[in-house]
Amino acid sequence: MVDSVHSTTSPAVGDSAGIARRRLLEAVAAAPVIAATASVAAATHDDAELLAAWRGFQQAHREFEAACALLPNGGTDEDHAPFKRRLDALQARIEAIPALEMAGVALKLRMLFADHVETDAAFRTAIFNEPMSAQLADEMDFGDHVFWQLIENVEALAAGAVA
Amino acid sequence: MTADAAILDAFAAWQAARQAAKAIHRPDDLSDAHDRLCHGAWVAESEAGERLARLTATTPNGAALQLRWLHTRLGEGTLPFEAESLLGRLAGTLATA
Repeated sequence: MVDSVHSTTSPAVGDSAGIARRRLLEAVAAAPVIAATASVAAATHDDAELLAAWRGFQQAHREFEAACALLPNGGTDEDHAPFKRRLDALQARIEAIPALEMAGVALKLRMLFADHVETDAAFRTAIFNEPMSAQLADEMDFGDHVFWQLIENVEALAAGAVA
Repeated sequence: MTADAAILDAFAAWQAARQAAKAIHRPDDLSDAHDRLCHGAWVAESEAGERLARLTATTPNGAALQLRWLHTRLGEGTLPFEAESLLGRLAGTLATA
């Protein structure tokens, strides 16, 4: 149980549990790098590297959320640090890899949309492809709606759904 | 009829309206009449941009033209520099796709 890991009956036990917890979190945060890299080699899409980095970014966020849900009070800044380092590195990779096809452009637009609207709901819609809530749709201005419509159009182009 | 012809037309109209609004402005003319003229020109530019934005792109070129409008609109102080720059590059990528 997570609670037993975090119980600190004495300073010495607390320190060692804290170190063990940190090592575990760092290992979890580092693991998807290997998976993302392996999937690049197998892929044949022109934007394969970018798509793999995107999947890695999504996976890293899910793991970060899962870790926060398990940790008391969502964890400390120190607990979050390895996840944030990994997310920053993956975001930098996504930004650095040029998009060669519509699919890659769509992913970059999704990242820009999440950064632009700057709400948790927008982030979940853009990054995890969750349905847009009515509240988010209400809060978005005309430019935001056009931005989202453009992403959907580019994704339709990527899927070959239109000319 | 060319695919996205309506977007090409709307983009040209928006650019023309934007150039007109910029050309009308005289920094040394502080009159109300000039102020109203400029305001009207920028309203026309905004409406032309919105007409462009409401269309649905069916080609990469059409999407690129809409992205250029979005870049102009969002880039004016609301996006971080990196994002603005990336939007510009993406418009270029879309245009050549």
